[in-house]
Amino acid sequence: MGSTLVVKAALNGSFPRFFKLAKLYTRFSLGWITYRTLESGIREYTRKLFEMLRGFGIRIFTDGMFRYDDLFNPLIQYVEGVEPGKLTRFFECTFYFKAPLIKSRLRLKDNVPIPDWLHLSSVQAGEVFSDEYVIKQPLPGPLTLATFSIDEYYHDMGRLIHAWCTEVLEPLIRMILSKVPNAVIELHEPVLVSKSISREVKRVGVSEVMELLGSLGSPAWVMTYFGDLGDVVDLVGDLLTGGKVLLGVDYRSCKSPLAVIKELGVRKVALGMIDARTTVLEKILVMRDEIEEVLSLGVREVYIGNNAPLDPLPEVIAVRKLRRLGRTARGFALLTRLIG
Amino acid sequence: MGAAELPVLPTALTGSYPKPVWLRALSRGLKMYENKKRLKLLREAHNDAVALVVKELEDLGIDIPTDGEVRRDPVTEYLVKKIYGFKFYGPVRMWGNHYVMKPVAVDKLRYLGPILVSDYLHLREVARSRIVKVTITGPATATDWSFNEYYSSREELMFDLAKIINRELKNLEEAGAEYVQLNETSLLSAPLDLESCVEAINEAVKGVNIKVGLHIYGYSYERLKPFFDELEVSQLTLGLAGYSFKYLKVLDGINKEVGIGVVDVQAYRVEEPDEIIRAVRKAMRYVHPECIYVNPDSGMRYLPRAVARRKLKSMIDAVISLREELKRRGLTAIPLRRTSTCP
Repeated sequence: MGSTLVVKAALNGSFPRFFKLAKLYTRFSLGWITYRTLESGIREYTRKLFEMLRGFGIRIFTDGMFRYDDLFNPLIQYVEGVEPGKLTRFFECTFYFKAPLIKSRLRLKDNVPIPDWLHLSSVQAGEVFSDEYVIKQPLPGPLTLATFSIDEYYHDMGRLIHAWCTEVLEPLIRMILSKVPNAVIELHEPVLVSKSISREVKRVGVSEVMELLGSLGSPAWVMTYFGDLGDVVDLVGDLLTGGKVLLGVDYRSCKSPLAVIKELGVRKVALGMIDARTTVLEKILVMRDEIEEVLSLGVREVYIGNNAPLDPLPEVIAVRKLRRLGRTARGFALLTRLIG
Repeated sequence: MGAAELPVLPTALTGSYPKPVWLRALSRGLKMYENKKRLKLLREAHNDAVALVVKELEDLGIDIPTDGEVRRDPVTEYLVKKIYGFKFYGPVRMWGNHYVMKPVAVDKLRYLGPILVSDYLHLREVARSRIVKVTITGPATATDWSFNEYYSSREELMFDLAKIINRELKNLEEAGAEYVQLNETSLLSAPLDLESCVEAINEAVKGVNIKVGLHIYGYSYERLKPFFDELEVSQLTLGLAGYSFKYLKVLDGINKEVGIGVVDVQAYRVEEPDEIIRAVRKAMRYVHPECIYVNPDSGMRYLPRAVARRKLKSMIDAVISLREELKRRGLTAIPLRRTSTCP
């Protein structure tokens, strides 16, 4: 990119599954509709999301994760040795997920459909966005997977993190990239900034993520949220060597995001500017000021987005927030063009 | 009215019971009517559903039924509909394909009048049981399940909710209710200061002279233990079966009446009476049998009705057997306690 300033908007993680689509899922689970009808519904709503994003000028996105109940499901259904466990709260959100219950050795099953799902979404994205776009595949990171697992087999956090990484994520990401080579992997590692986890465990997690992403050699986003990155800035710094990893900084939870960005000395960063925990709409002017402050630190590429999956928000609010995000980024693009 | 008597180890429903399938279908079908007519028909259907659920519970042998919360959607929607200052933006995903109407506080909250009194009066009318229980979401959980666009802090919102709940509890008392339960299922997981939550709960029950239970659910009961004595409630109702009774030890040294959750509401497996007997016996090591109620872990809303029924049957079979043991020790009945200590 040279010295050109880039400010782009992105949808990270999930968009709230449309209520009507959820009804289709329920009807399918009751046997009232066929899989074909459900599949057609998923595609219809994915297209609807893409068209909305195009209207907002958001060209970096996931497929909304409409096929996912949460960050972990149905991924864990395609992993041997795991069962869906108890409903567990997702941090401070009133959103719950089924925690992975580890019963035996982890191994990715052969029939995992996630790469095919991304391929389908990628084709749809190509139809809706005739020009440049980036599609991302959100996946839980190994540290987050291990922390939320109920471990009845490994009995060792380090071994569990390693197993999630090598037995599940690495083969899965290889499959995804062979099916959709231009996809960007979006690893969710909120636990990295969680206060309830020791630094030692976090260190192991970071080292596993580095190994994982290093072996794949493809660009990836590592999303952190709901905590202060300032506490682990020395750990995450290691992740950024090599320039393949884009770090997601939760601008709403980080106590001093500017200090963190300055200390990391990054040239590009993903900023979680839209808070998935509140219906209060972020002000465009405030976001603009915040971006300018980040750019003043020498950052050349800023990707503004939601700080965390948008599931905990009502659909109408998620839409309004994304619209504002798009406007904010477009304002910068216009400014950059005018300045030349 | 003198103190009501209950059989030792009274069995109670914690809160919700699966809605009859016909009620769900009917609710959808009624959408064709204009609002006033629809609400009238729905009220009648809800009344019938309550009568059915209560009869089912009583026939199974439950001593203290609720109305199964069949009129309500989960958590807060029913509560805030009669409180000025809230609005809704639409359904919010809770997990999988389950959505709730999560309210948004957009103005200073104001109590507009009784919320549950007519529901209680109907329950009282259809129940044969001497005691019935009315459940209401507590201030911490109601705050957790609301968005806040007005108050400067969530704690401020919580204390206004506590004052409103207090007025509702007093109205229920005036209407003749003898046993209410604050549902505080978010108490241990909400991003709220626990000490403030305890203060808000006490604010909600201030000056209320009927039995007030507090239902909590989670694995970190130890966090609440330092506040057990401070809580001005007559009973703590805890979900324990879902955690394989690992946290029973939290009851060690407690001087409050407890409702022990003996069936897991998240699993379809039906517990054997023997498992339940073992758990209650273990609880009796820490709590005098006079101070123990037996109930499901939490609301049974998400279970298939047949599974819920079988779980309750197991629970009641276990209690019948335990009562025989206690009868030999001369313990057959207990009073309905209103005090915050037991025995």
